[in-house]
Order: sequence, then C-alpha cells, then structure tokens
Amino acid sequence: MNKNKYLQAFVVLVVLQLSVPLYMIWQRENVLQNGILLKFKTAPVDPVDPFKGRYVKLRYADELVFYETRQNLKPNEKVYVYLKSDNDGFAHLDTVSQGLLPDRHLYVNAYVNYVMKYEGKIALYYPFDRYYMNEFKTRTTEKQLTMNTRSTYALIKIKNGVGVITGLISN
Amino acid sequence: MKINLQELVDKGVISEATALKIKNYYQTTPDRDSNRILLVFGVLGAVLLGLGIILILAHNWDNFSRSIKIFWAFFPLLSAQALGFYILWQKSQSKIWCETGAVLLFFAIATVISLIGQIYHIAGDTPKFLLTWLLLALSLVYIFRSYFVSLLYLVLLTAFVVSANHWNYSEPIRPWLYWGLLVVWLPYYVKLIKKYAATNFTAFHHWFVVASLLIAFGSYPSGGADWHLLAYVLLLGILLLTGYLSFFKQLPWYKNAYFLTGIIGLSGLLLFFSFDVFWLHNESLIWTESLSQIFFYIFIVLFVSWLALFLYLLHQKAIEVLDLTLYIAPSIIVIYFLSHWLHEANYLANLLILIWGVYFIVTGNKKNSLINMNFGMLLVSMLILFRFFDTDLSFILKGIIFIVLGLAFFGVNYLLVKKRKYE
Repeated sequence: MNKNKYLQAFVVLVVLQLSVPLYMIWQRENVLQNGILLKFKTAPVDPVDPFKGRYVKLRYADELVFYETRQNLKPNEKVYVYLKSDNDGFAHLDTVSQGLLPDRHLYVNAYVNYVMKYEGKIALYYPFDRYYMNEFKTRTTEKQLTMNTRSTYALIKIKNGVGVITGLISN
Repeated sequence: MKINLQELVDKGVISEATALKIKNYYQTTPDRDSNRILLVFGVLGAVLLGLGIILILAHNWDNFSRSIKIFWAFFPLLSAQALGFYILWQKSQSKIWCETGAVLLFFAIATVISLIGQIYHIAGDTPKFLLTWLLLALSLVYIFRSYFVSLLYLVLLTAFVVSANHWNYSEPIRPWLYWGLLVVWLPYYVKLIKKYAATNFTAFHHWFVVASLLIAFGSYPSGGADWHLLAYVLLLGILLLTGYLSFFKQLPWYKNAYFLTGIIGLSGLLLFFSFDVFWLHNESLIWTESLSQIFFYIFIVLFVSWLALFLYLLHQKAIEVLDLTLYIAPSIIVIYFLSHWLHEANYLANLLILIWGVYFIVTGNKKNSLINMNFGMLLVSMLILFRFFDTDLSFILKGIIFIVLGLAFFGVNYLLVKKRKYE
C-alpha cells in the first residue's frame, strides 16, 4: 500500500518533469513553424554557460538597441518592441510600447537594459541573445565576426513576441 | 530480544533522556549501516555520471538534426525515471538504490532543461532555471527519502536566492520564494531530526540549514542597511537560542550547528563593532524612513520570535536567566540604538566583549570545560589585539602584550588540565 503511494507520487512527478521541457519545445517549435523570419544585425562575442556549453553572445546593432523615449521606464521592465522590415528583410525598430498594440503582429518581447536619463534614451535587451555552437567552432566564428569587415546578422523567427534564432550569417 | 523503549519510559524503568540515548546509540552503531561506504560511493558515482553527461552534451552537437538532439536531451531524464520506477517497485527498501536513483534524477532534470534551452538558443535566466529545477526536484526528497538530494536541494535553494537577489529588478518577489521553498522542505528535516537524531547525515543537515539561512539572509539588497544588520543580529540570536533546544543541546558540540554559528557569528559582529571606524561611517537610524523599509518589519518579526523562543526555553527550564550568553544579540541591538545619542558606542562594544570573555573563562573553569575557557580567552585576546592596531604603541610594548597573552593561554590550560587530573 505504502509502496503504491510512493509510486503514484512518482508518476505525477515524472509527468511534471517531462512537461516542462516538452512545453519549452512546443513553444519554440510553434514559432519556428509559423513565425515570420527577420534578419537582425549583430555584433557578437562568445562566453560559456556551465550547463549549456559555449555560445556566441549576440549584441544587436545600435538601431535595434537604443530607443529615444521620455516615458518613465525602469531597468528590466518588460516592453514590446514593434519592428518593421526593410526590402532586404532586415529588422528595424519602429516603436517601443509598454502594452500590446492592436492589429500589429511584428513585435518581440524585450526588456529595458538600462536607462540613460540625460539623453532620455533607453537601451533594450532582447531575450534571444545566445547562439549555442560547438566549442571548437565558436573561437573561429568569433574571430571572423570581430574582424569587422563583414556584415553579420542573425536569422530570427518571430511569433507572439517570442523570437527563436535559426541561424547566424556572416558575409 | 526486542525492547519497547516507549514502554520502559512509561513504566518509569528508564528516563526519557536514557531512552533517547539508547535510540541514538543503535542508530549510529556501524552494523546498522555497514554499507555506508558503498552508499557514499554509489552516490558519488551518480553525481559524477550526472555531471559527466551534462558536460559531454554541453559540447554542442552541431551535426545532428534537431529531433535527434531532442531525443538525446531526453535520454538521461527518461533513463533516470525508468530506473526510478524500478527502484520504487523492487528496491524501495535499499538505501543505496534510493539515494543513487534520486541523485541521478536530480541531475537529469537540469540536463534536459539546459539542453532544450541550448537546442533552441533560449537565453539564460539563471534564477528561473534554478527555480524550475528546485520545484521539479523537491518531491524526490520525499519520494525516495534521499539525504543527498535533500542536501543538494538546500545548496540549490541557496544558489537560487543569491542569483534571484542579484537579478531582482524585474522580479522583486522572486527572492522571497526562498522561504516558501524552505518551508515545504521542512517536514523532511523534522522527520530526520525525530527519527535519525544522532546520525552524521542529520548533523550535515543542521550545518547546511544554518549556512543557507545566513547566506540567503545576507544576499537580500539592503534598502536600509541598519535594519538589515540588526535583523541579521537577531537571526544569529535566534540560531543561538535554537541551539539550546533540548534536542540540539544533547548533541556533541560540533554537531550543534545552531549554537556554534550563533555564538561565533555574534562574537565576530561584536568584535567588528568594537572598531570606532564602524561607528564613524554609521549614520544613525532615521525612524521616519524605517517604516518604508522591509527589513524594519522583518526586524520586528524576528524580535518577537526571539522573545517567544526565549520565553519558551525559560518555561522548559532549558536555559538559566543568569546565562549571559543568551543576551549577546539583544545587547548588540541596545548599543546600536544607544549610538543614536552616544558617540562612543564602540566603547560599549569593547566593554561587552570583555564581559563575555571573562564570563566564558569563569564558567569554563566552573564547568571544567576547556572549550568554553579557551573561547573566553580568545575573545579577550582578540579584543586586546584589535585595540592594539588601533593605537600607536611601541613595538616593545606590543611584543610584551603578545608574550603575556601566550603565557596566559598556556597557564590557564595547564591549570585546568591539572585540576581535571585531581578530580
């Protein structure tokens, strides 16, 4: 009897343990299957995560990061960044809003990174700033990317504010 | 021969304390867990295996398709879960199996979440990751009754509160979840204390709990540093009193983490307060601002708890009113308040250290306790040494004081050992 109780509890736990990663997969797959593809200009560097390995840290180009504002935004506040796409498919910042705007779908969830009080500007932080790579490749990639002669951009699929990186292009 | 201890206590054959001693003896004798070494190696193996899997997978497998990567991400968790079922089904009585299986599962949870994060390039939110891990790991402690996972849970919980406090701007509530997650773990701890009082694992738990509390409490941002510091003093005071509870008091001294941490922490703080530098930079309390500071309210809650615990212990006759050790925390708070009017608060701190130093030496001598006496000597010596660097004394004088202190240590210990031999 007692054994059964423990087993039942364990079944519940197993389901919970599986549902977390499965939900993560479902959310991202949904974006990858149905999202809109945009190019984000970048300036990467590469640190390490103890659990997930080596990755290229993506810093997005200035026009995607700084935003002129007089609103009372605080660091780490969640904002919606509305984007527009140019003819080559590159993303440009259109407007930043604290709430969702009606009838507009091209947006990503982002956070206020820091506020520059005197300029009245904010710096944005996008929650898709990591591109995991094989540890041997990141070093060469990083070298190529810091040579500055190339234009680099990340390919990112967007849906419901969630962005998922699908590739990193340098040419 | 099977003896019912409770019956013997009820009939008045042995006292409650003797019954507890007998129980503890049988729990710690080697033949009860003759395979303890096997247990430790089993768990160590599981930890290494878990960490190894994480490292190999963290290498990033560029060449595989997404679905194959996902399959491998789930592999450690699914196999650990399968092993878990087997253990609960067939081996639920074996400590080694339960511990090993639970530890493997503990690490498998982190592996799958990390790898899915890696596969989809999900940015790292460390506190959120640790929180998810904690929530999914907690019930392992109960289902597998695992000491090791319980300790790992405490370590993880402490890491969580530190990182949540570090990134607390967007989620100011998050660091406070620490206390909730500690409370849901408590029943296991209470069970350990009740059933396995004298084991080393339980002693490890005491130390881990105390360390976790101190680190967690210190990691919160100090809106108003004063109240945070005073609340910290009270926390140490509560730990000290907890060490007087009959259960902890009968433990060997090195297992009474509460008492030791309380006394060492408070003495350290008092020594720290004895420097005038501390009070020079200390701005006196501004009462009107206090009402908006969360640590002001925490201070009040802790003060009430301290008082309640004090009265309870007094009622239980577990403490003596004249035991000066009990009053270190409140007197630190009193001199802190006094510093509001009095500029020489550091003199009071010096005086208090001297009083306690002498008190420990005297009671140590009375109780024939070398530890007590040397602790008192240490306090007094530290006081003298510290004051020494504050003032401009000649090297000769400094040298003489060092020699006198050294001789005093030798002399007092010699006398006490001699006294013991006579008795």
